[in-house]
Amino acid sequence: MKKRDNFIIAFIKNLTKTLKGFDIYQLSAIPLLMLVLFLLLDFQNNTIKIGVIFPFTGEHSERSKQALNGLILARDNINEAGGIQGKTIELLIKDTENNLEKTAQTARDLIYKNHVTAIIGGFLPKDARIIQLLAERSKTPFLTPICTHFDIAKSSQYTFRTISDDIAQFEALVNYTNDILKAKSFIIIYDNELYGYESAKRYIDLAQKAGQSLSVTLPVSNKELNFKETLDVLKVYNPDYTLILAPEKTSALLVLQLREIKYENTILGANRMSSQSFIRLAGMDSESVVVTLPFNPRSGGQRADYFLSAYNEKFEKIANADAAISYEAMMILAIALRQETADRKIIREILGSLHGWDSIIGAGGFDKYGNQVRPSEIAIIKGKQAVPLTMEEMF
Amino acid sequence: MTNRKPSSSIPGWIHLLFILAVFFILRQVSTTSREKPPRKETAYVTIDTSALLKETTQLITPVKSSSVIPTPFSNLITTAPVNDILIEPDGSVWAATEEGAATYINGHITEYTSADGTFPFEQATSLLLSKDTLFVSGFYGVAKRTKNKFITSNIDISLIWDSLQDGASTWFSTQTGLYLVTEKDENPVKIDKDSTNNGLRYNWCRNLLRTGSKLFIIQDSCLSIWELSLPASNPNSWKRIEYSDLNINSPVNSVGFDGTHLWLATNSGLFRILPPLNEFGMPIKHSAELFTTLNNLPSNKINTVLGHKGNLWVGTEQGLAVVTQGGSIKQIVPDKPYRPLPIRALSFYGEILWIGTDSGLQFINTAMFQLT
Repeated sequence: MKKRDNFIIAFIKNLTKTLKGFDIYQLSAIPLLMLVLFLLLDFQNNTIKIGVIFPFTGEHSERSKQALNGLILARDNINEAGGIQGKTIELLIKDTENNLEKTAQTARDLIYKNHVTAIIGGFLPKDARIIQLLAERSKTPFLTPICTHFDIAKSSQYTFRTISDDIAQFEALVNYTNDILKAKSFIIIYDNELYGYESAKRYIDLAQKAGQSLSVTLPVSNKELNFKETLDVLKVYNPDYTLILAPEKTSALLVLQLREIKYENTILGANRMSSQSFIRLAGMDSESVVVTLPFNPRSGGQRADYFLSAYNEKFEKIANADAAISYEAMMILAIALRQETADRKIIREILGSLHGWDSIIGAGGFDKYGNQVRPSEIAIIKGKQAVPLTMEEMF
Repeated sequence: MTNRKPSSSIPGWIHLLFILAVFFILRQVSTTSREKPPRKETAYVTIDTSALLKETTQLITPVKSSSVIPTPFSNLITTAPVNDILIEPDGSVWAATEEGAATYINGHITEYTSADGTFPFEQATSLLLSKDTLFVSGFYGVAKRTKNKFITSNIDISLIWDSLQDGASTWFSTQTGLYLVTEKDENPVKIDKDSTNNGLRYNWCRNLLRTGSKLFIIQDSCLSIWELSLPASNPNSWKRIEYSDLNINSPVNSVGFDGTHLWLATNSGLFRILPPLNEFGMPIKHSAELFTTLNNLPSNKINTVLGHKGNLWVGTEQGLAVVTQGGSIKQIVPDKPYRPLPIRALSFYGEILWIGTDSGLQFINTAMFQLT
């Protein structure tokens, strides 16, 4: 300790002596030199900025926060492993407040003011559409781990989707209703918001091709609380099954009211009805509802086990599908960034060439449009959990 | 006698000069390695458009009924990606770009950007000329041209996707509705879902087209049509064509009119709306014919369309095409083996077609070939 102190004292003495020997020009050159060195340090280029846009307030906040946690876990894993090409990932997190104007403003600012390398986000199709068009115009890669609308990735060169889309989910549901239920007739209840009808139409096409007949389509508003009139129509037709394509809250209300009128045939839903928010709202009435399952930890094997335990340790919560698929999205983006960290066009090209990978969700890949090719799994809600079908249940 | 320390044989001011020199050299190296080469005031190989026009009388060659027409394209005038083109009556070419505005005059390109303080915003989507003043609008607002730079105008609107100059009226389509600015009053009047009593289906208005007394507005899942002779607040002034009824599932990027039909440019092909526009008032269900690469379009991703003298010019992700009055589709390709660029904007000046691409501006002389 004493030896080190002596060394420091000697160093300071020598430095003072040297400085005393400097004239005014040499002395003024020192701060200038320090300024030069400071300016040459390129602080900004030591991070890779990724924009994150989700509705963190409002009815979708719970799922959005889970998605964000998945991204944070992925970011921390990447940064703790030394980052990418010596650069760390920085997430610029923005809340759309469930408002389309705010979505447009935040996406605009991330692209043109923050100059992000890529954007991850997009919840509802109408949010995702705005981000998609801004990303396309500015040539910014955009990954959505939540929006399942069939056209979001297909119609854009810069949009990629890591969750299985509506079509993959509908194919799984049609196979289930044909092979297991042997269904002949069905009804679709869909939300009459933007794109609701288009999605319902896709399901109808697939089911009719499989030989099923549509009894009737029943549009509902997400603002409604009482669906008596809609369900009166449903009772008249008494179809083999009823498919609900609506947000969690509306789906839960519909299921509760279907149970009240003693509707005993199968109720089906897509991935939104496998979420904990739906199961919590519908309570015991959610039992035996058939849903699509975007994340089955069994498919991800040890990787999924690691993810689930790391997530639980960090956030003291059980990771849901939104967290897992967002984690996967960040990791997929990191694969592309390993080859290029700045040029967004090149990053897009690399993402477009990722046709196969093995992640915490299992095997996956993008098709030529940047759409996830992983098939969708079917689950049945049992004991307040979406439980994947067993092999026995599938035959 | 000054007691100067004999610490160095080199005078101190040389140290200072040396440090400054090193600073400038290092700064220059650091900047050039990170940034693109400066594009301001760059001279390009000039192709005089008027000269091309004069040559046309000799160059017009009746093109065989080929589906591909090789054509001389001008050299690329490099700019940021182009979103809109406007040509002033004197032939000055203006572009709204992903970085601001650019002008091409006398063989020189000048770019106006927020980075050099000559443009108030980071981005621009569209251009219009009103009472000899050039306005450039974009996602951050409306800029107005002054002598040698652009300043923020008094028109307080942002998130602008398109604009349209129509006599004394200027229209802006935005994320939050349609805005009207008149010559008398610069305060924009907002026309949205509420003020039209749901006549306008959604607030998000994208591209605009006016033909006769009708204003066509591209929206998220429908085409809204306003009969301008009737007040906006009357829901009966409005009509809409749902894209799902036309089997359109992709976003619509642009709307064009060839003198007979309306056309919609989408990411999955080009759609011709039936019946012809003059039969729109009749109680006929609308349908659409789809044109794709199977019909000789260079790409199914159609970014922009522009009607001109009965033909429809089509800017796609992989180059240019034209739908002739006779209904055939011809690809217009560079006569040299260049890869066609993604086209984002088109504008005519006489017979010269200016093309805005991902990488800058080009033009062709459309009088050099006959479209039969």
